Amino acid sequence: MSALWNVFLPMSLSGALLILILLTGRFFWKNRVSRQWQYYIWLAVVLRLLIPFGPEPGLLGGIRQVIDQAVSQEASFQPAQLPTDEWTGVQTPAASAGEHGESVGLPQDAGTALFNRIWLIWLAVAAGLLIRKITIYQGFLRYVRAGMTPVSDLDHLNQLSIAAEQTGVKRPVELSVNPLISSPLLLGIFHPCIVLPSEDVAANDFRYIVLHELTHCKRWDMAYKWLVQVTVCLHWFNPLVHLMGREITKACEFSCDEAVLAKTGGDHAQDYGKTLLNAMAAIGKYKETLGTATLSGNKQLLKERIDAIMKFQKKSTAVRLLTAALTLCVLTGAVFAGVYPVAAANPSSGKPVAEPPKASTPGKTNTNSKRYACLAERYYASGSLPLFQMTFSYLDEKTQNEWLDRIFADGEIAYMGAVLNLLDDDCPQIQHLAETIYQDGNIAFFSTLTNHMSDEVLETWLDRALDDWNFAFQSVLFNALDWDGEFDELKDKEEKEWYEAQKAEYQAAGVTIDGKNYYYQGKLVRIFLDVRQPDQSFYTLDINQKGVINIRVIRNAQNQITGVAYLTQAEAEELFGEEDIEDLLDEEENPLGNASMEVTIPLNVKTLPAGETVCLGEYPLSEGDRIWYELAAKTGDGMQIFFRKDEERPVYWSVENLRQGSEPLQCTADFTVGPPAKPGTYTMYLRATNGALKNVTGSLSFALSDAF
Amino acid sequence: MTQQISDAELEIMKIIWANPEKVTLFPYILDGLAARGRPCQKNTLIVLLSRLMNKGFLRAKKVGRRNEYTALVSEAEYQTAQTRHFLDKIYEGNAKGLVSNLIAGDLLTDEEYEDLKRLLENGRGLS
Repeated sequence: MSALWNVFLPMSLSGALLILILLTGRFFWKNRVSRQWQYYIWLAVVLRLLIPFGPEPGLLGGIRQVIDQAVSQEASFQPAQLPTDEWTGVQTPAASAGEHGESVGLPQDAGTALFNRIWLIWLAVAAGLLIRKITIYQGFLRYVRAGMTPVSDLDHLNQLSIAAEQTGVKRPVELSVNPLISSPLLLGIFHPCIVLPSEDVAANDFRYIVLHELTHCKRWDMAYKWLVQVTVCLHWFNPLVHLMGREITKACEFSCDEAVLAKTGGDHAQDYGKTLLNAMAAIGKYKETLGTATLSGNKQLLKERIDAIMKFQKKSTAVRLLTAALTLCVLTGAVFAGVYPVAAANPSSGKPVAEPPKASTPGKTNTNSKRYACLAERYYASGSLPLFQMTFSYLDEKTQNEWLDRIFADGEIAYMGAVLNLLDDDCPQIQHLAETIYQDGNIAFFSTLTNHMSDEVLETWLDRALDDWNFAFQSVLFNALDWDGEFDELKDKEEKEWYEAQKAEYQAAGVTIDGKNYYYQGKLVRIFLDVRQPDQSFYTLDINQKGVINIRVIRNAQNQITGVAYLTQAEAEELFGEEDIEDLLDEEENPLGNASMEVTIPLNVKTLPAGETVCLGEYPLSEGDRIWYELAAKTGDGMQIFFRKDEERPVYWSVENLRQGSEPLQCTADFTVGPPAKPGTYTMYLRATNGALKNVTGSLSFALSDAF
Repeated sequence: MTQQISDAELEIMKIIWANPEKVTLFPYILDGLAARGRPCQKNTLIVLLSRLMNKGFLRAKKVGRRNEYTALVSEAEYQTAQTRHFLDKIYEGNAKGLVSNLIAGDLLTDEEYEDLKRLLENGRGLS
């Protein structure tokens, strides 16, 4: 039995903590948050105070341990025949209630005996209080019922019925009059009866009184009140619980007023306030209103209530959201404030819970992580990144790893970035994640991760990537090391070597690389795909929205480039999925983007026989675009550059030059697209006007107008 | 049977008494009240019926989801009880006083008076 008490004390403590929080919170949300919420949120506390179960040792489990420790120390001053576990009654299975009886017989400190019996005192007082409350209530019921006559006026009864329908009360509600009571009240839970002090009430007042009492009835306020009374009786030693009882009574009336006004509309506030005042006029005949719902209790409360009624307004969505968040907080608080472990509370479980105090710490963290894991799950599901981020930092390493894997699997790069910011550089979680991502070959995620790695770690990864011939990761890692400003010459050389080798390889196949742009046959490449043999595990994929052609590098089984082919629509779709292709096509309609930007395309013509013309690519141009080109030929005596929309149309932006002595042969021009040239796709041509041209190099640049 | 019932309750009893069927259903009473010009809300009727049951005037039998109401007190019983109550209260049990008052107060028409006389001469009791 004493074990029961052992559960109760921590319950009372955690309850008290919640009460304190709510009482303090009241000052913040008094007029901001719905009164009904303020009323029902107490239910969480009441249930915490009544239900002795919680998930494992809660927050207070730790406190409890401390108390136990302190008590054990104190008790150790006692004679040896009184083991310290008498107090908890659970540390040895033998310490059952029956044994207590015997141990009392031993000569020992009277105080200790009292201490052992404390649960008995507690229970006795609680029972006494409860019985007293019930008898008082019964007396009151008798008093009210004795002088009560049922109202037979059909008008009033009909009004009551209408109000009952309005409030949604399904049970039949009796209406009676008792001139001995001071203010209207509601009796009974299952067979509710509204008692009025007098039948002679103004129609308006009657309506509000009845609405108010019916609202109590509808919301089962009587049951709630009794639940609170039982709680107060059981926790009679806890002054905060008494305070809570009073607070709930108040909140009940406030919320009931609010509910009535919500039903009738805020513009009735004044009338409703008047009704309250009228009901007040006759106050003070029979004080005891315990367990009943009266229309008005005392004058101070009434003043506050009328104040609240006049301020009544429907709460905005923002406030509702806030309220929901608050509820969540309080509820989790109530659930996790916890009580002493249930196992410990139950001696019949036979398993003595002799946890050393130090064991409580991991236990506690464990519970907390579970709780945070739950929260993380919820926030992740609801897509609330900031909350998720906050919660994540409380998770333990293992859970964090699981989450990182999951975020990675889900491809939530935003979440990844957010949670990585919380972790220390090079922490085991990051190592773990890097391994996963590396295995998976996801460059995008890996590059996010590189921001959270030190150079040393990056270098190890780079070594590994080099060993694996994993070019994509190499380039990411080179980049990352570069950003860190510590340019390793060796790595730089290796990168350059790789890059140059790559470039040469592509060049041989007719693909030129300039920075990030790929060109094939003078055209900017939109999708560039190079899948390396034999296992196709490494590939280079480059997407350039401004490009005009999609190409694919063809390799033979020896991984040698055998050619370059255009990607078909089907292949592209297979590569990206239909939706992405749609996006790309959308881009095509507006291929130059909408910001003013410069693009420079390198041009390279090895040989051009005399009199021949070669095409240097097609360029979509629109009005206002600025174009400038600069081409020089090593050999040859005359060259011409011109643009043409199609064969028949006139030639635009043409420059023709002849070699002047030792001067290099070159053509440069700088112009803006405008009338008479119409926007459209123009082809750039090079013509050898005087003798064959060799090694023509140069570039064409665009500055795209932002006329889009 | 000295329980007093309110006017509204009496209205309901009258409807039930006037019903040729053995049992009366809720909608019947509701319609009856409306027909008598005393329309009544459903909840009101429920409350009134439960009061009548508490006073022992009615019995309700639940059949499925509806209640079948049966009168436990007949109209005649009620009238007798009420008259006795009235007699006791006003005339201290003296029926002669009541009748003479009825005659003196011109509360009886000549026709009614003749009927009553015949009734007395032919024998005891009302037909």
